[in-house]
Amino acid sequence: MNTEDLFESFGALDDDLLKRSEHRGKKLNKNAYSTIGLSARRSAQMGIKMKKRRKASELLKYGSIAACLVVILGISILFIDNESPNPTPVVPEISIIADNNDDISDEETDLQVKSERYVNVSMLLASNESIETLAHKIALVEIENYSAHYYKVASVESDILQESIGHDVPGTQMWYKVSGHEDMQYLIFNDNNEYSLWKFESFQEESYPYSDVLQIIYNIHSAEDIDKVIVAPANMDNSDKGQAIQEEIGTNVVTDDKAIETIYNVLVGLICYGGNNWDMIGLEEDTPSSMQNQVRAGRFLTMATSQGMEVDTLKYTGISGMFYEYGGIAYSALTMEEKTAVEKILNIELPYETDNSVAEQNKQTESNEPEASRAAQDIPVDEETYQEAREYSAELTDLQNRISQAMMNKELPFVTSSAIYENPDRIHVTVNTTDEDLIAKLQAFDTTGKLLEIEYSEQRIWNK
Amino acid sequence: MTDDKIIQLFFQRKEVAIEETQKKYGSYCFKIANNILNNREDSEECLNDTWLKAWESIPPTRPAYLNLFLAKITRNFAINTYRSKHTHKRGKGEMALVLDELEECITGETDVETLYIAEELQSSINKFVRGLSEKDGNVFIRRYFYADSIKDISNRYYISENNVRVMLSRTRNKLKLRLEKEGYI
Repeated sequence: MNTEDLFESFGALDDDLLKRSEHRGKKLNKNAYSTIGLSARRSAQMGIKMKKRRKASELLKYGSIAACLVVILGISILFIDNESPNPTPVVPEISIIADNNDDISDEETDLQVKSERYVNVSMLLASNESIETLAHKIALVEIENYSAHYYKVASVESDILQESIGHDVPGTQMWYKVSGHEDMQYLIFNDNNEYSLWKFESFQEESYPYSDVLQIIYNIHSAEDIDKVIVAPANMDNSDKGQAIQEEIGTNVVTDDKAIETIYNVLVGLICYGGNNWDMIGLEEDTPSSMQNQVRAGRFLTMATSQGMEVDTLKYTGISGMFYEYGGIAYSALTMEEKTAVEKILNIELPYETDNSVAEQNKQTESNEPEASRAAQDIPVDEETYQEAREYSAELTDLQNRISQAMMNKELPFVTSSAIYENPDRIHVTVNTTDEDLIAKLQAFDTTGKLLEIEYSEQRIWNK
Repeated sequence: MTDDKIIQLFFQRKEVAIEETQKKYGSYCFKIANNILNNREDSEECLNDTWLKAWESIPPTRPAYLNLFLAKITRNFAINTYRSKHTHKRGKGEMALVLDELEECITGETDVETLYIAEELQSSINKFVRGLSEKDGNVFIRRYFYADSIKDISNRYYISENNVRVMLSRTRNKLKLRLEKEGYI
């Protein structure tokens, strides 16, 4: 087979796929979408764009009147008051481009849309050194059929934010997306030319599908929109012991497509119950042992999207098998199957104790039936063995951290996942290459030569 | 004129069907052919072949989407013409770039001719594209079915050219893995 054969074979693609690819998003109406089988959500999104066009049309109509007034005002200022302390507000060029596109061709519109520069949100957030104490301010923003809670975050100066505004949020007057962003995780608010940065928290409704948050707020429509998921240990216990557990867990980066798809599929099926639902989340009390359990069973997730955005609000606890967020934002509990799959990906394998499991264990202790596990625990272990186990565990953690760091630094692009596995304890790394040089590069991380287990994505395993 | 009407004319064996088809889909098919051939005369020749083939095929075929039916015919003729005219070296234009890109997907192939079964491959590619997100799938199709330029795709879907390149590159990598897994390369 050569490239021409391959190219020719694309000629047999199904009509519905070809049809789908023929449409320019902005030209379609809702009916057209329904005929080609797109979801109601997508149709609704296109509806927003059309609404925006209608709005743009209105703006154009009134814009010309406003332009005349501005000219008259300008002339007046020139003749009446050259020293005016309140100059006419500068409307950012971007918003003009975005709003006056009704009567121009789609191709011209494309060029204009693309002229909006991409602003990395991290550049708008205040650096740690300059963060001031910020009163917790919440605003409600009407987005599609929802009232969304946004909270104000510490940011750079107003004038930088002003230069960073993108399209306005449809149906609002003062809320803008960040320039170059389709997502609405962060919005810029214009309060009489005083610009501030706000972050999405939740919808006001008592419950709503999380898929709406993913799509409307984060612009995530499929697993493919997620590049990777960074899994960090939960940090609710920062005592020495708590930190030791966190270090032991380490940070993993999930880049395996199937794993990401699994997480995505679980997330889109969740119902979100909004804030102040700590009882529902079911984390245990704040006793030291309970906190350590929470760390062992918890993971903080950061989803990095293909659009360069990071969603860093999701947390997971294996104690109740639930995702949650700060502010007590609770989600529906996972099914046992989902819980198992998610915990495998998040590497929550250690036998942590939950209220239930402790209770069960106590019951079992009271019963007369001996248990293999208890018997094993009863075997006296000398200090030397403990010491060996601790050292082995430290080596594992160190190796896992070094591999994770290298993955984040893109030094190991062929590594799709890396995690600490038990029984036997080892670092399990999945790769998508069979190149011996690359495998050797990975194996070089394991200076002991006994900790690493490498798996090819098609289940081929090398044991060092 | 609606597609249904045009198809009806074909069924009635009225030659005006070809005129109407040409009128409605002439430029559409020309772009497909010219993306591949980068040559006006060859592309127009392809179009003539397309109308003739359509005339021969309808009836009995009653295409669900006339434009796609014509697109596939045009594309096949264009590929054949391209092959006959570029036996030894690739020409200029979008097709050369497209083929260069696709080379990434089949690098390292050796005795693959024996494994290459066109229908199975086509079915496999269909499944592959179905498995992609809508956005990735659309971009992939525009590039490798229609041989659209990166710029055209960028304009069509409101994404930057760089983004298109990245999306295509990722998808090609996935396709390569798929083809390897299924034994095509």
